[in-house]
Amino acid sequence: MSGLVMCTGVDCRLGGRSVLSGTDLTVAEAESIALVGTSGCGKSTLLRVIAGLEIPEAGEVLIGGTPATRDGRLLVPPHRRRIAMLFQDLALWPNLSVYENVRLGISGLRLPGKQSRERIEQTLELCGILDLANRRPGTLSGGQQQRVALARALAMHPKLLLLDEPLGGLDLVTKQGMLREIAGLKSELGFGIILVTHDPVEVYGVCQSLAVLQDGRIVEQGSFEQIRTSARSELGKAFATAMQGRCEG
Amino acid sequence: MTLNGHNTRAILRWWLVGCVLCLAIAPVLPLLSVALVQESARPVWTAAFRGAMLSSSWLGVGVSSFALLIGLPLGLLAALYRFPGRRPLILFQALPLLLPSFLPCIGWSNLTTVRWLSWLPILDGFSGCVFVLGLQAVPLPFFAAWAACQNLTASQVDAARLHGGERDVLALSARASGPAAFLAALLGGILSLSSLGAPLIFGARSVAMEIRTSFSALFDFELAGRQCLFLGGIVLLLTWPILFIGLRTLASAVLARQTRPVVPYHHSLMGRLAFGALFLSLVIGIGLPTLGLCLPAVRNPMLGRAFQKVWATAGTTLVFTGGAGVVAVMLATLVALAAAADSRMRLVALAVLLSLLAMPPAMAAIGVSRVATEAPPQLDWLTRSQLTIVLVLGLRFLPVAAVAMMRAVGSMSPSWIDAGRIHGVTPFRMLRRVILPNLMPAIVVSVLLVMVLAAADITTTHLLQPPGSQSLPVAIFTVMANSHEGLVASLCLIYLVGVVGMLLIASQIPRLWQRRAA
Amino acid sequence: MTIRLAVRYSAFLLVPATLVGCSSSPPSSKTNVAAESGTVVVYSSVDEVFAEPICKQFERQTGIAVELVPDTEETKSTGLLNRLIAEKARPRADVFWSGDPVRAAILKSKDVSAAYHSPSAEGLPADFADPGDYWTGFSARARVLIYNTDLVSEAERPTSIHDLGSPKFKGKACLANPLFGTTSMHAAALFQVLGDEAAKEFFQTLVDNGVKIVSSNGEVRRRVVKGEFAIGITDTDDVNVAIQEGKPVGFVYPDSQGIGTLIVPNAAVLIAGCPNGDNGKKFIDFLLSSETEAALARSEAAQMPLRSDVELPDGFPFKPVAELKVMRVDYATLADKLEEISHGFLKQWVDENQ
Repeated sequence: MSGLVMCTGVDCRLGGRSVLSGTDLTVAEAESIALVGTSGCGKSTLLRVIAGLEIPEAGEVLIGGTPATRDGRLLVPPHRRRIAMLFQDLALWPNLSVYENVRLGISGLRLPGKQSRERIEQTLELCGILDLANRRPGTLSGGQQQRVALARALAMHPKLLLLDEPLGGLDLVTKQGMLREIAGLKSELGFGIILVTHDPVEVYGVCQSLAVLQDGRIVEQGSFEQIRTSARSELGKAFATAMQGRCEG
Repeated sequence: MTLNGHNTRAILRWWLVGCVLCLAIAPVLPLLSVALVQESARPVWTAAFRGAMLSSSWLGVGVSSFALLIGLPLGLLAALYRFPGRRPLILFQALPLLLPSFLPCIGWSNLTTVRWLSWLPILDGFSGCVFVLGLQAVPLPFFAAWAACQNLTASQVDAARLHGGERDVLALSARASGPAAFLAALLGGILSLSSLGAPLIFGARSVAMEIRTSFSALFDFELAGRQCLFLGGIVLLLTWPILFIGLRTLASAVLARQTRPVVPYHHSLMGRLAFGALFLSLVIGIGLPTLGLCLPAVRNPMLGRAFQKVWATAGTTLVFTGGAGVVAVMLATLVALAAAADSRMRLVALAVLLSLLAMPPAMAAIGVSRVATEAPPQLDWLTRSQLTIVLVLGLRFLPVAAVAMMRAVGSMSPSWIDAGRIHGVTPFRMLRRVILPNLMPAIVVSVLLVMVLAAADITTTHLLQPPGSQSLPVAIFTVMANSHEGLVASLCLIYLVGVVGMLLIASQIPRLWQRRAA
Repeated sequence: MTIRLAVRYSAFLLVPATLVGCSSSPPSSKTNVAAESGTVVVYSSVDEVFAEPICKQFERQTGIAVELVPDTEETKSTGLLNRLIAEKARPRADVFWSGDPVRAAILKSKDVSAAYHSPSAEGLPADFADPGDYWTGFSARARVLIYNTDLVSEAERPTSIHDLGSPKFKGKACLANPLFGTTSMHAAALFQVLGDEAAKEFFQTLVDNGVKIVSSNGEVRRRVVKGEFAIGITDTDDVNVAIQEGKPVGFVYPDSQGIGTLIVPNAAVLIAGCPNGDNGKKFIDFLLSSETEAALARSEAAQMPLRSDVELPDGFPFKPVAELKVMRVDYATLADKLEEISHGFLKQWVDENQ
């Protein structure tokens, strides 16, 4: 079986410390998966390995069936993986306007001028920030900045969107609005999602399945129902229960 | 967390930093190599040199301790409390560092000639040197402590305040900024090793004086070279362990990012104390020596002649210092960007550069003029022109620019680069569109800083200036001996006003940038 | 917007380019121009304020441009002499105008200078010139005793350098660092005239009497003016500054009954292999002329002419050299003596007593 992403036996060390050891994770086409785990267990690193920002010493990462990283060698650079990422601090370029942020974000695609303009405007419209196109990120509210980051990510038409706790600083109403929007865009555009989070609220409505990372390896992966019934980890159980309570509620 | 699995990139970065470091070392190499290779009739490690070394070491320790004892508390008070005139008072604390070291010395020694100031103790010998050089070094730990306090979060400070009041706040911030301030004070001590003015004017023994004697009385360049080598070696020996122990502190100080910065607190007693301390430090650090320098100008102003001189030398001064600023900051930006992901590389670069800063400037200048003589005339554009001074001065102040730029690069989020990589933005485009524009305020401020420092480095300019081009500080220096005190004082005054102006401009740049960005 | 950005960034890149450009192109063209038009490059250890008017006068008279690189005796740097020595293989200077003959002699011993017998040297006493014409002396200063008239009465004023070791001035006398400048020359002269043993004894009496070593002759003047010290040894030009400013000081030509006063003539030196020798020689001719001696006597330095027929300005504070009891010194060998004691006795003396 070859999914959208397939990690096998990934070992990764950072600053002399083993962060991932023998991690396996599979994400199917257009699947949305929540990646949970205790703080510092390697969730962000796994996302960075999938994105190609970190090269693991051992193991293999397949993207769409093609080897992207294998045994410490980068075979497909980050920008050719069709993976976008929403960073924890959003990583908006502060000196550029919203429009320019998105434009620089798709500069790697080398689209002709007109096409690029259309794509940017479409995406801004889709994210509801077309009227903010000439503003700089520093002058926007937190929620607006999230949308800009989302627009920049989606403008490259990714097959997979990596979300690294990007909604942490938002109030509940804005957060839920954002989540609804992401879910809507996902069903409209058909990309997969890996969402790193600590918050069941974020998972609800966006993800269908759960992967639990513990001590650098995935200890379980499956639908909420599967995990709730046969959970091997405390965290998995707690998460699935919280989700179920929410669904029933 | 940043990418460090990419071996080739890491190797490339080490190469780049290595090249810049080699370039920085290049000017002092000719004399050092002569010193190492050639047999000399005279031994270096004589009793006199040992004595001078010992005296210099004590001088360094004295200057560092003095600067730390004054600079650290001042820096904490400035960072933590609100008081009237806070911004200018903080800004002008930098002044003593930006003047040529002989100016305050002369100012102080002039002061006691004034009848109504004759009660001031006469500065003399070792203690005089420690006092004047220490005052000049105070800005270093002051700004280090101030900057380190900026890295504390407001909640940390609030927690300390709730827990034990101002005493706990001061204790917390002293602990947080102590290491950075200590390192800065140490740098001040190292810099004082190569300072000539104070030991010369107040009559104290120092290695710099020994080296000067070898140069100017014995005309023994090899001996001088070997003495410099010794000095550099000892500085390295002393500083490397300290630097490596302070690795984490320095790395975090240079790379710190904050969530919610400390806001100066309104506390009437501490505010008043802070105001008083900063004001007093300005009066003693810059006010009194300036008064000493300028009193003769009040008695006998020769501003007209002074302006004439300034006018004649302004262009050259700008070319020398501006060029040096640009060279230093370009290289520093390169080093800072290359070493952004690797704290070990940053440290090695800093250690090498800082030990170079301790070398007497004459080393490089004499070495370069020797190379120039050996080189074919076709290379004169490089070895015997204004470009030579620009390069030598730029390389000399590369360490200062490097620290400033490392801090600026450290304040950028690493995820900007990650986002660029994911989106396929080419490194060049990333540099041009995102990194350089965001570094621009720091770049401009660093250029101005290096300009002021380079202007104060008289030895290099004096020994390398092509015939017919004279810079203002060198002009002051050459008219100092037997010209009318009024003229000298007027020139010094104009110079001081110029430095204050530069400082004001530099302080406004980040603000202007922010306003433009908004 | 793109264009605006492009302009902005190209401007940013252009700044260093232009700065470096304007710093590199003019000098290279300038040196070419200098070589072609015959500009004379003069390194001078004489203070710029005194040297510059003379250069200007030369330019006016001959139409030959002069580029002056001044130094100062009070130099806190390592000085122009080092630069001349460092540049020996391919000099940039044509002429070195030295404030004292010892520096000129050092240049000779380091093979930096070339022999030149100027026709203008006619009338200048041969005692003050190198026998091989490697340098020629003109207008001079003298090493004199300076005293503070508030602290020392007319009757008590010193008359000999030995008074620095006299009990009545114990702890009240100062001297510039004898490793540098004219003081070093004075020390070498004493070794030559008194003999090694007597000179060493003299320096020992200075130590015993608590004579303070200060940084420079200017500093001696300042501290005596201030009253910090009652007497000191310095140069006539320094004394003149204090007199002109109306300070309470007097001066004495020392040892007019004994070994005599040390005369420190300026020295004109032609640099060997210099780029512009012919005009360099013309400049030296001009320096040695009685016109320059008269001009230097009129200047703030109040230099004493070596020629006896040069007219002195009104109120000239010093005597012509011819009227003084001059210390008999062999200037040509003074540099060797200085080198010997600089490495030996004098260095140690300074190290121990500073």
